[in-house]
Amino acid sequence: MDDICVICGDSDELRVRCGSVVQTSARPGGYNPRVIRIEGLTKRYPESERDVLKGIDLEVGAGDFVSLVGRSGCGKTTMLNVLGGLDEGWKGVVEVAGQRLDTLADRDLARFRRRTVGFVFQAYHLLEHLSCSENVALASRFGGGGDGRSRAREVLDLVGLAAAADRRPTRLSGGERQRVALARALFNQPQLLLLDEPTGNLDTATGGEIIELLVELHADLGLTMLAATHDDAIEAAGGRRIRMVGGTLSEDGAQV
Amino acid sequence: MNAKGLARSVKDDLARHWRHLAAGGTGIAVSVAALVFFLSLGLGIRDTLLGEVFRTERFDVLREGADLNLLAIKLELGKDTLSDTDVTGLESLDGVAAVYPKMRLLVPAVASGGESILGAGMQTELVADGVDPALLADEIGEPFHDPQLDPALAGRPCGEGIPCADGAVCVGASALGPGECREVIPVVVSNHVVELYNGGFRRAYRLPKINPNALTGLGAEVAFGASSLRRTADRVHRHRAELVGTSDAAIPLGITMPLGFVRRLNAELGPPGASDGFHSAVIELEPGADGAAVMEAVEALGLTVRDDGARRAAFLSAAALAGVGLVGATVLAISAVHVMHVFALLVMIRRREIGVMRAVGASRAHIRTLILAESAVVGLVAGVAGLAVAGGLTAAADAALTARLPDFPFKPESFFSFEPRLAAVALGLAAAACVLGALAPALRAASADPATVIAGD
Repeated sequence: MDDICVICGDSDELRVRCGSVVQTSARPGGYNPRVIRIEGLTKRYPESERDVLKGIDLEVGAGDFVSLVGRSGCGKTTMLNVLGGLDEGWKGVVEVAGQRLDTLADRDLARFRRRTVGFVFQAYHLLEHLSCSENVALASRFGGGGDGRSRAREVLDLVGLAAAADRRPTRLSGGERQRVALARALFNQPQLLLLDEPTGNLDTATGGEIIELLVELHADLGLTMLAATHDDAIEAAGGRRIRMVGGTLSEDGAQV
Repeated sequence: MNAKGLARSVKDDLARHWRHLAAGGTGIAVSVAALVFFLSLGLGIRDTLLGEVFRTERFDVLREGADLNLLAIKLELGKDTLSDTDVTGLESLDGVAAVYPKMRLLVPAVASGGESILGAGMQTELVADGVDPALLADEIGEPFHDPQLDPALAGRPCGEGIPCADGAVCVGASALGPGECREVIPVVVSNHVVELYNGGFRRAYRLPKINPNALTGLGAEVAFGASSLRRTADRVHRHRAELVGTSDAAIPLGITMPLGFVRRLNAELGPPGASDGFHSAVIELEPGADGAAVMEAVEALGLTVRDDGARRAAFLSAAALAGVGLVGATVLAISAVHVMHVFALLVMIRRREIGVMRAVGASRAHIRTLILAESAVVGLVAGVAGLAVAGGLTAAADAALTARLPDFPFKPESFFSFEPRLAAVALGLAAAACVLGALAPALRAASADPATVIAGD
């Protein structure tokens, strides 16, 4: 089976990973290393009287591993949902991998979710009636051609669950389910991986394994990651920590 | 959504939720079965009414003369026949494929015979008319032809040792004297005649019931110009008549012979002008012609269309079919509401799943398409099941009706008309009812905000 190559990188270099081989090269001129650009992002839920996001500005470069921390209800998940194209009814400018989300029609937004971002939820959100490989390849049903089985097995192998490809998620442990969810997020080689409390439903040891996997993937694939978390270990693993308080952001105590 | 992905998703979902979907589809299947059963019954009865009882692709045209009532007698004023010019005029009308004139035999006639099948000879006054053999070409074919014998051979004496030429038979030969060579006249009778005979006539005269399919070849001797009721002209033509078939196009009571033969008899033995006019003509429409328009054109020529209730029958059968269709559509609509409830429930059950699909890249259109495709499949499966049930019911009911109902005029061979077109329409309606029922739940599912759905899990 031919390896599928993943291209990623940061402001200084590009990394190409084909199977287990990673090649690094200097970036060509004119490349925009910025994966996330947010300006004046404001969001208020219809039934609420206050803004959950209050004029947020943020930039995240390619290959960054950013942890987004803050108390429950401060708006972390809402911000991830906006970045993942899952949420509507917000104001401001949100640009991910060069795509202005406020200008995308529903069909384009769906393609954006399918191709540009990968989302890992705290509660896994795997479909129990499908096998692990079918869950991983779910996006292929909505476009892209092919049944995606070989690619699904490849990413399951990447997260160490190749043997579970034909099993149903209900027969897996919490950690294994989160690995399948991670494989699903990686299926279409996203430019941005959004993780919403990826270890929130796991015990410390299992959560630690997931974090190790994330760190490894970040190192190998050079993925841009934004993880909303309460987990100190993820905070420690991330190269950049952003704190969210009452719908606003601060980095190392300062407004970004 | 690619077709393969859609097919996989639909298959997965149908397998998972088949109980719910079967509950929704059952109503559709029952509705389709009822609709197809009653529509095919209605179509079958309509076919019999319009194709056999009141034929609309053919209709009779005549000229109604004015009559003056004088107590029990009607005094005829003006002619009541069609001329050759009238026939030519009818043939030139738009939508008319052919015109078949009919001529009454205006010569008294007596038929005798029937020993071979009835066991005893019978003699009866005969009412007869003549039709263009082309009118019966499809039903009877070549045996019903004008048997014009060479005039030099017709009427030659014959008898013991004196044969007739080919195509002629010896009629009237006895110990008292020779007979005459005459052509064999092919005769057609109406099915109605056979039914009347088998109904009451044979019982009254204690005669056997006859099989209409075995009547072909039955012969009788007919004396044209003779009568048992009154004195007639001195000239009598004796002929051998042989039954060549039965047809609803034949005169309802009497015998029907080839037009040319009747015309010659009328000219030879009938009153003056007896061979000049046709008492009516059958108009055959071109396929797809507007019958009503042709009827109007005929009436514009000063002729009368003998309706025989065809228009009323057509209207009544159309109204009955529309009524059955309306009832069926109403039942389908009620079933569609049931389908809507089932899909609304399924959408609620699958709320999180739909949210996940949206999160990994399904658009609103993908979700709508998925749910509507599932509903269409349910509709088609329910439609096929309904058709199967309807097919079984119609076969059983048809067998029971055919076996249990006594013979009656125009009793059809089948009471149902189960047309492929009806099956296709029923399948389409079943799928459409399901899709319409699932439309509102599909729109609601597609409009859900994935972030809200997933957060609410």
